[in-house]
Amino acid sequence: MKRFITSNAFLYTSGLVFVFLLWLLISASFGQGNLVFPSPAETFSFTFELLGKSYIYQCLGMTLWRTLQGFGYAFLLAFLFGTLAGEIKPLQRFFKPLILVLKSVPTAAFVFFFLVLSGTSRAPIWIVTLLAFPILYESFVSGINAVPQEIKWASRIDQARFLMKVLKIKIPLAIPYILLGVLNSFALSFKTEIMAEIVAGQTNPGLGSAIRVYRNEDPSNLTPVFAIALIAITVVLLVDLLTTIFKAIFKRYA
Amino acid sequence: MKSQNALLILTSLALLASCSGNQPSSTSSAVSSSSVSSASSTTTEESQKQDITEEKTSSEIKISSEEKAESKEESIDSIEEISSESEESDYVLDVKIASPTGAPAAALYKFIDQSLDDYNPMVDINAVASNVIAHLIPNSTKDIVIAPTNAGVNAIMKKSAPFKMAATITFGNFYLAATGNDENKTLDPDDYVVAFQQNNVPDKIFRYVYENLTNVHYVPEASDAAKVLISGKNETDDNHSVDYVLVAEPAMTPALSKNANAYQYASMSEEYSKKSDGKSIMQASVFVNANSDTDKIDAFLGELEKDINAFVANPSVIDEQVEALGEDVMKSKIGVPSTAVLKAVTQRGNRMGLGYKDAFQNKDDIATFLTLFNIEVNEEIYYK
Repeated sequence: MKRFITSNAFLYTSGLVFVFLLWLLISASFGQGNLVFPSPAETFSFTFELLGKSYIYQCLGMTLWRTLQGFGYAFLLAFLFGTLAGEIKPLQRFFKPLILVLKSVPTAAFVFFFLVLSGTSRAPIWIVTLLAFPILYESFVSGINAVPQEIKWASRIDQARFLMKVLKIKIPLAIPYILLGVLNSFALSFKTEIMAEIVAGQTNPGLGSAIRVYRNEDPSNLTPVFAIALIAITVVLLVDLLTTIFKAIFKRYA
Repeated sequence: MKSQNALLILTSLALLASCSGNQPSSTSSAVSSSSVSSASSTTTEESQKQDITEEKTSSEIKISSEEKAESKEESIDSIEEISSESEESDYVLDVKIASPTGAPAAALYKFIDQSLDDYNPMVDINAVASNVIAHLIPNSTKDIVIAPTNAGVNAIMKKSAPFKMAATITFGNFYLAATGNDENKTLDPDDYVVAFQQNNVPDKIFRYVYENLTNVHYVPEASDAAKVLISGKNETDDNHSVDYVLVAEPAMTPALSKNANAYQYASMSEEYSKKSDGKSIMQASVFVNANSDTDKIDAFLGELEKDINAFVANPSVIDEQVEALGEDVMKSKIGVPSTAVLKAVTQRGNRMGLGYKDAFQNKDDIATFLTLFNIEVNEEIYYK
């Protein structure tokens, strides 16, 4: 019995049930129907209705695509600068103030700048890049710093070249840290992309513009907004699941 | 969702049909009730007179309806002429445009398909009007920027943006709606009023028209104001009961259909015109890049004027784009609850306030409007 109660599956399921009960309680306490905090039943019902429309798949696809673009740029930049900073300690110290600024700056402050730089449709992509880069950078730096000292010494004794050392020894060993950074920042990037689409005034298909479309359709009904949020949460959970599977496969064969 | 949309559209159309004799002010409703009571006390002689009058009236009505039918045929002919002129045009868009959603995007209905490219769209439509100002800069990549008149003129005069004002295309779509909560049905200085976009264009016009209000509360957007109109309460102020709401079309029409007690109290365009000796609200204008090819600019401006006239005359001209791109994409691009509401609102007296007026030829109206923002203009800002 104790084993069952403390098992991952049971705890995870109980956590989900708790979330739904909390949702129900908050919705009931507001008591204004869809105006303020729609109930789980209304939200799920509308979600299934939404999933029957091609528009929502178009929006989901475009938001995911823009997130991947922004995340991809951040990953490449983090790979380059994070690897260099991990290898060269003075460089790591040099970049520290910049990374701190990038982590703390409110991204909304840069919306106007990105709008001028690249237009309405691509501004959210750069906002995602700005958000994800510091997190991924630190994953690379932490991962490379965590490589055991013996391995660093061994590579020096073997006179391995710089690129060989980094690409074939340190990066593979740093993968658990990098993966953790990827998972943490992807979920945040996806959420930020949706927010950025709204703030930047994006009108091309996307989950952010879908939220605006449904708000314009009926300002007194928040159910569509919650339904779109539920779809976004489901996507993040799926990504989480895929990453867990990928980690398990990697552990098995590494 | 489709059945809800259909119900919304039907309810809106029914409301529009019934609204023509509705209660815009307490005075007219008082007048109509007194005429009803006096009509109830007719004698036999009077009833005979009434029969004769009715005969006359019915023949007059017949005559007037024949006249109406003739004029309707003429207007249908002119609508078809305007629409076909716009449809037959083989104009190819060769200028880059930035525009906010709303009435300006509706004016660009023919080019909406060219706004879907994520990388390098010919038409960049933004749902946040203030974001469009990002393009009013030196080295702007846009040939045409449609922006709030005050913001555009500010960018030209204070930030040396290389743009000139060519035309104004929206003339106010703001209305004051009554929630039905006000007992005396008259706007008093201490009535609880909700407006939106404090210190921006809607607020400036509202404050100009109604100077003496002392109990005005603000919400961020027109959609938030529409929400207040539906519920009759201000959620951001502990659900306080609201008497009047400043709201914009096309958000207002569906909101009115959801609150049986609510009605339109006043049109800001009409009230502004009364107060300013017949001037118009020069809300959103077309700014052209002084560094762009003038032939291309002139060709576009000519096409825009034709398109706007075609749309106002016959809003169904957007149906082609709706069919090609889908209702949801059009709703996102134009920023409306549905294209059916947009068409209905335009058909009913052009409530989106769309039109086309050359800026230089209407510089007095522009100067008057810009005094609301303490902006003094010189003639150099106009495209001639």
